[in-house]
This record gives sequence, C-alpha cells and structure tokens, in this order.
Amino acid sequence: MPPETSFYMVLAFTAYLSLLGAYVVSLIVRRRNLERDSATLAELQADLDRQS
Amino acid sequence: MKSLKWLNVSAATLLAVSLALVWFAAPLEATMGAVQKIFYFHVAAAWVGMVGFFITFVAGIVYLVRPNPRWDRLGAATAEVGLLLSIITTVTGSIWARPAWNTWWTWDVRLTTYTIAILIYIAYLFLRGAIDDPQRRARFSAVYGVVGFVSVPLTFLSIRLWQSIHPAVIGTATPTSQGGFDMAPIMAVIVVMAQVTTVVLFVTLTANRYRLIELQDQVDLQKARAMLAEGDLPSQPAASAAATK
Repeated sequence: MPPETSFYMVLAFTAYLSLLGAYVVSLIVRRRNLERDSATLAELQADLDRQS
Repeated sequence: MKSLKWLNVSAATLLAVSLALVWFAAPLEATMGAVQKIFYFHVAAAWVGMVGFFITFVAGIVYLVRPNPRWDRLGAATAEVGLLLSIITTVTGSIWARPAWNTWWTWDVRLTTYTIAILIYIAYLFLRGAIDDPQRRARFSAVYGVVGFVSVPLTFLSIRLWQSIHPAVIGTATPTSQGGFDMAPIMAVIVVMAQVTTVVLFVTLTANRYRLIELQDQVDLQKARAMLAEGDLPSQPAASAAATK
C-alpha cells in the first residue's frame, strides 16, 4: 500500500499552477501598461506634429 | 499576432490535458504515493529551464559577434522564462522532499548549485533593469548570459561529481547516486506528454515575453522621439535609443 502523500501532491500542483498563473498575469499586466503608454505617446506625438 | 494566439491556446490545452492525465490516468507510485505525480512536471521544468539558459548563452554569443537587438530580446526572454521554470522546479522539489527526505530543504550539492544558478539569473534580470542605454544593456547582458551559464553545467554535473541525496537518473557514475527507472507504459506516455507540454509552454511564454520586449523597445523609441520633438535635450539613454532604431 503506497504511503498517503496526497496533501503534498495537491500542494505541489497548487504551487506549480500559482507560479505559472502569476507569471502569465504579470505578462498581461505589463503588456496592457505598455500598450497604454504607447497610445499616450502616439497622442502626444500627434499633438506635437500639429503644433509644428 | 494570430500565431501567438494559437500558440497560447495550444499551450493551455496541452497543459489541461497533461494535468488531467497526471491526476486521473497515472498510477500511484508504490514507494512515494501520490506526491510522485509532481515529478512529471518537476523533471520537465528542470531540463527545459536549463535549455532556456542555454539559449540565453547562445543568444549572448551571437549578439556579441553580430549585434542585432533580436538576439538580445531572445536572450532576455529565455532567461526570464528559464528562471520561472527553475523556480517551479525548486518549489515543487522542496514540496516533494518533505515526505520523501523528511525535510523541506537541505544544503545538498544539487540544491545548492541550483540555488546559485537561480540567483545568477535573478541578477541577470536586475542587471537589465539597471541599465537604460539599450546598446550597453544588450552588450552587458550578453556577456553576463555567457559567463553566468557556467552555473548550468555545474548544476547538471553536481550529482555526478559529488555525493548527493538527489536522484540521478541519467549518466550515473557514482555508486552513492541512485539511478535507473522502470515504469509502467502508461507512466512513460505521461512522462513524454508532460515533457512536450513543458516545451510548448516554454516556447509560448518566450514568444509572449519576446513580443513584450519588442513593445517596450517601441515605447522607448516613441519617448525618445517625443523628447526630441519637444526640443527637450534628451538624456543619454533616450538619445542612444533613438540612434539605435
């Protein structure tokens, strides 16, 4: 009869999916921030072009 | 962009299928019980993470020979994803060690060299964050990526060169290391499935990270242009960024 180690299996898979999920979320957040920055800078550039 | 979306969907699907196979189809291992199931992903994350560091090493050499920002982006993306997989390996290994070795952590030679490798690649990311000038950042990162790679073969060989309680499955030379494996056919299939899933995950995350660095470079260029257009004297990094694009 194998030893009862289910708790550690669940803990390990929770850690695995949490780390992976956290990284994916960080990619999404960083992407969103960069897209917002890019849009703001594009607007700024358009304003500057109009002024000149 | 469309291919990236397909890659994301493929990776998520493969991960779901592999997890289902590990949880519901893989048999219970006789001596360790359910916790052994984390090995399907622990082992895959370990070697794919090291492959990531190897790609950083190669990209570093290529960048130094032929300075193209693509190689810098590839090196940075693979280092970050390799680091993520290495941290996953360490955390899952530590959880496995609690019932198997009766401790969460021990300063065994494999664990120590692996921790050093992780710290080296964390420092790599800090180094990139600390340098604003893109050309200098790329050059320094390339050199660091080449030199830092020394830690990877050292980690791989550690259990083969010195006494360790960490299992060595492939290429065991020392009598103190454990080695060899004998698994049921269904286990072998799931092992292969987990390896393939981890490779696809690595490629997907690297592609997404690469795209993000590209976007960051684009934003840096926009900033430099805006500063130049405003007649504002650009700082050294911004001017350099504009010059390199």
